[in-house]
Amino acid sequence: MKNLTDEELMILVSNGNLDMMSILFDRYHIRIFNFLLKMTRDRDISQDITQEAFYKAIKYRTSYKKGKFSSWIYTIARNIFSDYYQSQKNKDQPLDEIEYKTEREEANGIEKSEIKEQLNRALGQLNQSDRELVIMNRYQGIKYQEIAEITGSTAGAVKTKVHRAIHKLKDHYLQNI
Amino acid sequence: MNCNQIEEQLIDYLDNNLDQKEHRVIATHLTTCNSCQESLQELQLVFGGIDNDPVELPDASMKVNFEEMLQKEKEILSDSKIVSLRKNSKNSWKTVLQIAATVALIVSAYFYGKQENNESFSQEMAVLEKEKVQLKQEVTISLIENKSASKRLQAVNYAEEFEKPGNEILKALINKMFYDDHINVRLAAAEALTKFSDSEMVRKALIDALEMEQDPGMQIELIQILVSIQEKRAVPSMEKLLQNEETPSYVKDQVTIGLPSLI
Amino acid sequence: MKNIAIAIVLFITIGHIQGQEDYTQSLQGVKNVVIGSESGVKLKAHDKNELLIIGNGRKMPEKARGLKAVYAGGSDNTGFGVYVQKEGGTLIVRNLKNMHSKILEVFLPKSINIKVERSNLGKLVAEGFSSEIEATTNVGNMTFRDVTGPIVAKTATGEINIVFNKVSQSSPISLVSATGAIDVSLPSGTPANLEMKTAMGEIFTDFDIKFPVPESGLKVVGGKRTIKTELNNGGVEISLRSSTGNIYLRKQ
Repeated sequence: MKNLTDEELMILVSNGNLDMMSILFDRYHIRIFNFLLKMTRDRDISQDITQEAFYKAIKYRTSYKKGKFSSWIYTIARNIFSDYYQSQKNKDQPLDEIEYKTEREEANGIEKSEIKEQLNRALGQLNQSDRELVIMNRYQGIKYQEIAEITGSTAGAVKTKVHRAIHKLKDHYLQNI
Repeated sequence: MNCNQIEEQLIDYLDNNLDQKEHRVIATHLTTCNSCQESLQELQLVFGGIDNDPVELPDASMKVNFEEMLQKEKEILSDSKIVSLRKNSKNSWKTVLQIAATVALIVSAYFYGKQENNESFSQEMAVLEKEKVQLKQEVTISLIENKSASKRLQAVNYAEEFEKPGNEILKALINKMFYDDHINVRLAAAEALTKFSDSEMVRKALIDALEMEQDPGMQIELIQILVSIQEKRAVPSMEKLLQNEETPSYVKDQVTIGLPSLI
Repeated sequence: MKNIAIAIVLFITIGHIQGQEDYTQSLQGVKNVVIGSESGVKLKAHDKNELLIIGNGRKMPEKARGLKAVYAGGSDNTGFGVYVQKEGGTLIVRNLKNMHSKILEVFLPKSINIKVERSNLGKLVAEGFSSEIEATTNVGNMTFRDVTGPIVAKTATGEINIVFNKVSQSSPISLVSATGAIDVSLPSGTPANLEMKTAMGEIFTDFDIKFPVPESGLKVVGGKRTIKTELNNGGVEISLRSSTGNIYLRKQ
């Protein structure tokens, strides 16, 4: 079973073989979690949303339409995240003010974690859409075409936006040093 | 190209997304332009930082929670199968409750009995085994029309592992033997069918296949199979192959070797 | 020595100037390439996500100046006698020239899935791919080097020669030849479930084949028609069959 592609597994899930979701969970939950962690900067919230995304994937399994599974699960995770963000907004608590909880001090590699820290700060200075694009494309290595599928855009438009966002990130980063 | 245009292409340059010509233009420009060179280094610094960003691991409890949730969903799914009977019956609620009660009774009786039974373990294994077979059947059917020939071969291999495949599987194999796009899949399907030659449907299909087959490699495979399952009804098509001038000599050889053991 | 080197460089440069511009096609979003060609095809892996046909060497006859080559097989939309078309996630490449023309050389990304359809006379060469390759040829030999599989290949009368640098465990490998020999080299540690079958040919190998009944030190393991064995405790299915040709399986 482990040799099956994501899409084959998801077809089995949508036919009622829920156990196959377990393999998909193993393949994707760390990536989704890291995506959300970069977006929210909060471990607990990121774990909750990841959990919720797989729950919805099971609940709405019959709405899966044979596209790329990774695009589909990212789309679900994104929707949950944006719902969450909306509710945060209503509580007048902008995302950027949420306490930064992910940092775990490591004895070695101080220099490394400094660069990482500065990059994270620069990332926080981007608007949400730019930040998301940089995270997907550069941190997670998702191709322009697939980002376009996830965000409902075109590969060309995504590429232009990603490039602009990277230049902004770079400028923020250099200003912070 | 001016520096602004160059700068716009630096990301593609670093990602190796440019064609040879564009790549060369930028490489040449970089050797002469300090400010573009600097931009490139800044980008490299940022990308290096991103690439070194460690992957964070979620708490182990996440997997546990997921499995719990999955379990619950499976229970709901099996419940809903009972509920769906409702649509077909007239005295809906009563019937549903009756069915549910009956099922519950059977299930609990089964589990009760199982605990009492010394051989409970082997029974449990049998149930597991049965589930595994169903699962495999599903996978086989869903893979056998895959676009990739290698995946279709995998499906044929799965099918071959069944002890007693259902008609659905046999029909899928027969279909692959006749019509698959890639000859290797057809050969593998024919070979897999040999194992199930108890079935009259399979034997008939193998005979028909030799009658219609054009590909010499496939003809040889079918001749060997039909000889090994001692299918005398295939003798006429074999004789026809011998008489046909267009049949390659090595196929005729195969018939001459095999035919005596059939007649 | 130096002179020769200079001469070669000069020669190459001149060739480049005279030759046609290269043809490239971006493969953004493309996962499969389907190639149809009557003449031989050589596929090489490169690091860019594009299809590349080197223009070097193709010269138009002097008299054709201002004219366009046209082919019976379809419209030439590349200027190379090759028709290229994207259809969803698939790129279709059709060589419009006849079976006696020169080998068509194409560069592709190493991870793209490749399907070569019913090439006739021509041989097929592929180098450096870590993706799935599907191919059928009639007369032509197949030579794959530095590949991982999965490979599903069949030739009627040609030979199949494959050197694996690693064997992908993802799904089965199947090589079939009607009359030609099959010659395969695998890394010695490759886990696999191996099946070798030949009706009239012989099988040679330096891998250890486990027999139900022990047989000692024989080089030729043919005679019986099918050999099934596990290599390194078993793994992906590898099936080699030839009707009348020999099978050679080598350790490397």
